[in-house]
Amino acid sequence: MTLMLDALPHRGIEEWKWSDLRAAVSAHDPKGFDAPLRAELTGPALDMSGPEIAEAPVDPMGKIAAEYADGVTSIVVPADASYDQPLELKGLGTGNGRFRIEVGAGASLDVIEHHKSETGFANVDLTYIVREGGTLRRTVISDDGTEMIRHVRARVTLWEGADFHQTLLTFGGALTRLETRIAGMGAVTANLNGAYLLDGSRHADITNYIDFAAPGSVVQDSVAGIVTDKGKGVFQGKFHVRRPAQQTDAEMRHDALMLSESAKINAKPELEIYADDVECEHGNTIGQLDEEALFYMRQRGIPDAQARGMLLEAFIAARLGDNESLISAVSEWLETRL
Amino acid sequence: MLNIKNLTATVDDGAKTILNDLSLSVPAGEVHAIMGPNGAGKSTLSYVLTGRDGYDVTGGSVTLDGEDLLDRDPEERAAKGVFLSFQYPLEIPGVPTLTFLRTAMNAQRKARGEDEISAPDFMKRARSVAKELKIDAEMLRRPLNVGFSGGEKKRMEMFQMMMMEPSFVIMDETDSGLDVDALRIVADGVNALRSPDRGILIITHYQRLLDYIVPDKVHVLSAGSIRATGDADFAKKLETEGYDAYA
Repeated sequence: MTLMLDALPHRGIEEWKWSDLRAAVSAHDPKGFDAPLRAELTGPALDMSGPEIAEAPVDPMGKIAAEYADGVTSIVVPADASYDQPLELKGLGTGNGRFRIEVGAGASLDVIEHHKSETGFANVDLTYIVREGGTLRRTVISDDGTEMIRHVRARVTLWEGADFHQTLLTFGGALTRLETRIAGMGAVTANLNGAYLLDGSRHADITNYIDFAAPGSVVQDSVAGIVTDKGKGVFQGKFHVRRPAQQTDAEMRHDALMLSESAKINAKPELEIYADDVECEHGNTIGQLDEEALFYMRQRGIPDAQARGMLLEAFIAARLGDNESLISAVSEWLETRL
Repeated sequence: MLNIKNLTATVDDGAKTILNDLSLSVPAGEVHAIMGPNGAGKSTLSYVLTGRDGYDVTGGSVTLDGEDLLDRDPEERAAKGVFLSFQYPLEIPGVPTLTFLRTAMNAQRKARGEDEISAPDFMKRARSVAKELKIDAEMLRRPLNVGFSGGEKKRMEMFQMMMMEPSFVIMDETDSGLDVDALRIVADGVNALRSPDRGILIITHYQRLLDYIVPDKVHVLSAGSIRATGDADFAKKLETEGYDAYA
């Protein structure tokens, strides 16, 4: 176990200072650390004989995934293809998994990832590639037990004209980290939405890193969270705008509500900009539920708990678009806690 | 009949007395106006009547049609028929106006043991009230009050009031922020709601609104209690002479 612990990132590393994976594994001693993850894929009949992942992983979690995963599940969507149904990755329970999903030029794909386990350890390493003019819509729901430790990292490479929509919803775990690293290799559009809802002593971390290498991209990154009890929410967002990436139009928002005195939220929105003709903004708010709005609703006859539920649901739903199954998961969570 | 007897209320854990032995009766069918200088306790009265947190009632009683109000939660008072038109109506992001209103009306009905209003009945009524108040249907689909102008927000208060048909209405500085056209629309709404079984209490700093809604009685609130009472003409006198005589 000592060797395994040493391999894990910890709070001494800047990017992990609020999500100490090593300490969490040490405290919970989870199973699945050195096992492969076996996922179940459903949806359109896709070519499963795609290439290996070209680059060798350099980061600790990537190395662990490469060592213990049972090879790479590699899928290629041919150019200009599109499907009526989404590709669903189910059974993303415990263990190490590696996936490579390539969306061909002009093609379109919906992917839904279901991350769920009561206990254990999961390390899911995903590589998404969207070729010229392709579209990828990625939906991620993580709904784990209180003892579960989960790291999900997606590396997304977007080529000229690619369109990427991401919606994350997590209810946390002993420690959950959903990390998205995007490389914009041309003028691309990306919408990154995310939400976390945490109670008990659950911990969730949404980390989005976007690297702009070419001019003319438009990116929206918007994450919202609700934390109660002793829950802990972490948001890290970074736009890295390289010198050639002129006319980048990028906005980052993180808004969170703390419903208890002992809730904790750490947020770090960052901009690193080397191009001089860009529009980049970031905003971060952490607060409580608006008591005045609550009184207004009660004065109209809406009972306290129901009014709270409506305000909280609207706050989160704004990040979930029209995804009804995610919104109903949020309503259910709120109903049992208010 | 709203009956306020010897009402005393404090804020800041008793450090400051805002209402001081205030007594007032507003019978059903009458419109009463409360006027007074800034800081007289006008808005506090509206909040104490509707049960907002942060005010401690240390003495006196408030009943509506013989039933105690002060022991009830804000939503229970609303279900009893108490409606407050806010001086600064709140923005409710993410909740469309019609969804908000239907939820509120059904919550009130449920609390009173009545059946919910059906969707077609609700929509029919909403369309007709909106037309009366010259409210665009598109506005009712937008989140309540979000991005609305001051006048639009006040009009939306009237819309909710007319939909809910409350048994007692408190209007807190409803005229502030309204141009003459909007004022007329609001006044028409209130006048349409005047009925033998509904009391209305208008809280206002200026006499202007009372040109359009003629009150049965006008009271001066100063230093937390009612200092004088008169008829509709009394409001005009107050406007010219000020409140110094009642301090």
